[in-house]
Amino acid sequence: MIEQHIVTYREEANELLAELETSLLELEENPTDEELIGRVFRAMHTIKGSGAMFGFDEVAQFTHEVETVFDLVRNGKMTVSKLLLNLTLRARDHIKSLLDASVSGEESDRAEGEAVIAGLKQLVPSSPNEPSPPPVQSQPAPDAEAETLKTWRIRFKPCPEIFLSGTKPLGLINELRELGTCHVVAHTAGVPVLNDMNPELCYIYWDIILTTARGMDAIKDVFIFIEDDCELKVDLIDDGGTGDTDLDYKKLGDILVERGDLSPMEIQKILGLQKRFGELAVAVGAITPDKVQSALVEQQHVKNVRQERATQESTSSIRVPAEKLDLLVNLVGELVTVQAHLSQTAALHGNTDFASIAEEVERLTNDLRDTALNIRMLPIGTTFSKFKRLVRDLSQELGKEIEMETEGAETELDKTVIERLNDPLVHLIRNSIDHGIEMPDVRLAAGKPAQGTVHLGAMHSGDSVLITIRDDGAGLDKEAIRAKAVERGIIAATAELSDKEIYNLIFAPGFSTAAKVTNVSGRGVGMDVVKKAIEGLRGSIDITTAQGTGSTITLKIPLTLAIIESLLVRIGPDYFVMPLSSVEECVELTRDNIEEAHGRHLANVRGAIVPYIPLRDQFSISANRPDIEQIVITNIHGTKVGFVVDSVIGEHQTVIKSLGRMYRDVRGISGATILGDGTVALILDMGLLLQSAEALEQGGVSSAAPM
Amino acid sequence: MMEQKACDPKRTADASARTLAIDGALTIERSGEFRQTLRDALAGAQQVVLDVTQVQEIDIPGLQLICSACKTAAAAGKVFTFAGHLPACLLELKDGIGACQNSPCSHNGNSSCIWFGGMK
Repeated sequence: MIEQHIVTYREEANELLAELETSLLELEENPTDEELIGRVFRAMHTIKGSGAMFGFDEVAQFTHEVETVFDLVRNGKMTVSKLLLNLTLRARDHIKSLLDASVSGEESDRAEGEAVIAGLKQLVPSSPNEPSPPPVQSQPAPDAEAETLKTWRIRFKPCPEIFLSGTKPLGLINELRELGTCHVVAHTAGVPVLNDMNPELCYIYWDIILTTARGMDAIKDVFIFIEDDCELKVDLIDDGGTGDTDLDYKKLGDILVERGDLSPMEIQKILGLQKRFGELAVAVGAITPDKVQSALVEQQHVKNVRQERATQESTSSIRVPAEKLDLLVNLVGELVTVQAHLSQTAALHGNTDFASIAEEVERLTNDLRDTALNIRMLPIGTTFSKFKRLVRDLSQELGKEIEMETEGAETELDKTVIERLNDPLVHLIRNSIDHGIEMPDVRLAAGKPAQGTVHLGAMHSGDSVLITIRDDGAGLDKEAIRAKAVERGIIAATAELSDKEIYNLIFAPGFSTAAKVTNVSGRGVGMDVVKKAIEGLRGSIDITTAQGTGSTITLKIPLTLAIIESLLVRIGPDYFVMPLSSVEECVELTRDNIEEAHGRHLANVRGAIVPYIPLRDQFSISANRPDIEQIVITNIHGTKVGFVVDSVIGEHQTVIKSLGRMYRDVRGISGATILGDGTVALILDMGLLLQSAEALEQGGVSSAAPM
Repeated sequence: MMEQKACDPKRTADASARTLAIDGALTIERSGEFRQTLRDALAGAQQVVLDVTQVQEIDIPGLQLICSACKTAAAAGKVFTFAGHLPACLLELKDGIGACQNSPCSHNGNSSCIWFGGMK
């Protein structure tokens, strides 16, 4: 059971760390945003608090030190500086490494932690004798959070002789703080001038607004020993129920009346003046400013509590291990297959009752499939925020000024796709920063703002998602790419290439035009890896660029990897499927056509010459060739290529099964699927088929090879 | 929140101010003595600067006395301010009991308190 909690804590801590990072980066842009500072503080506070609970003492201790500094920031005793943010980001990385170390059992880098702490301590403003005060605001233990949080107003007026009995009001207030989130306001209005004062009496009273999961009894227990020596009034002001969905709390005037500080008559009179209520109440002398202040604190406190509750309710969710989801999707995949079989059988039997049941099952299966796939959809924004950090760190390292913009962070993609997109995106963004964006002085000389921009966007487009990485840097240098490609022997010196073809050269293995190898990129291992990874996701990559004004790289990624719309074809006895997204049209290929082309694999489609690949030969399928074959014309990276098959069966919804390790070296086949009648059909990887066909053609009839 | 007014010029002391240095524990045991010291200081000068940088300990009665002295000075049109920074123990107590600096004080024309609570 404890194990379970620890795992949950780790997950939560990692989420909090991600949030911490985002908040810190936002804070860099708005260093005075109190809400952000609060968010940073809360994230650390929670990491620390639950860390200590589950025995992550090192995490708790370290986080406490960092939190202390942010407590100063929160209380306005320190300002947010670049240095502070740098250190805090390092601290965040260190907390992460501490957490990771607790999993792997390795020793964490203690020196790094100490260095960060030392750096932070130096930042703390002068007053060296000021010990870092322990955070006074404690939050309710996590297990209590599940219960309803109620908010109470406590007016605590100790009898004047309270000090004489040795009671310390501060101790009582701190006990209340342990119950939950607490705002304390001391009223010092009663303190008289020196002549009228008995220095041993208490003239102060308190208003305390407390949000806690514990009840009235717990509050009263705090005051149990001085019950007779104080005036105590405890009122429930927010019952934590969902009935009060209104985020706004009571009006200031209502609070003051409820507290008995003002009468309704007085309120009416003041309201008649129609100005800001709090100032007015003070101005007419009806009330002292402290009471207004205290009421304002209550108003703010309850507003905060309600806001927090609203966000909690709207994001209420349950945690499910990813494997369970994968299992669900697998099962749904099998169900889709069985359902296809059922529909087929029903059609064969011609029994209308049977057919209608099969139709019903089909409808339900489709809904179930969509829902199951939807569960695995995650907003891509989580990945985006990681890149913000990357951009920040890299630009600092390279001495460039770069701002990162994101758009469409809410676009949803399959979880696995998002995970596998991470590395390619890192490569692309690094490239933009290193090769794309120029140094500030170069930019200014070119009449651009010193600060470069990297724009990362995501949007839906049919059954795919388009991800764009756009920079306003130098753009690709066509001549340099060409020269480099010739030098590397990738193209012949005389080759006639279109602009697009030249740009595509940067995806060739071992290609890099960077003059020097930097830490960031330039080793020439980036782009071809990116291309492979994107193709592995059945996606495509496209570059548009204008020299001097920047480049845009567009990735087109399918929404999900589990199920695709495809075209089912047959060659001899075997079935194959092709992803429908790249299929353009189907035309017939007769014996006469083949003879007309004199043995070359070229077809004349409405006047245009389209090269084709006879799959029958490619796969050495020896069954009898029919008189009329079909060419499935596809569009692969802008090139039209035909694939010749015996017959086209039709559209098919394909549940993708991987081939397993035994077949991982098979080229041209990306997976398999099970058809309704139980037959296995192979999924063709058209990009790779095209490549191997090109390789074959190299020595022979080169003109047939597209480019 | 309430609008906070700019620093009242009356509350900055000049060279003629009398400095009153207190050290050690400013607690209920010494409160009678402290009250007398403050009264004497305020009676004998137009401007009093309280130096509490060396105070190691303070409790609510101590805090009340500072507040009271501030009101006494305000009533008499005198200046009562502090030298250097407020010691950690005072800041801690101030935060602990929920008395915040810069809140308005009706005894000082509703201008913000330079000490702590200011809700006088």
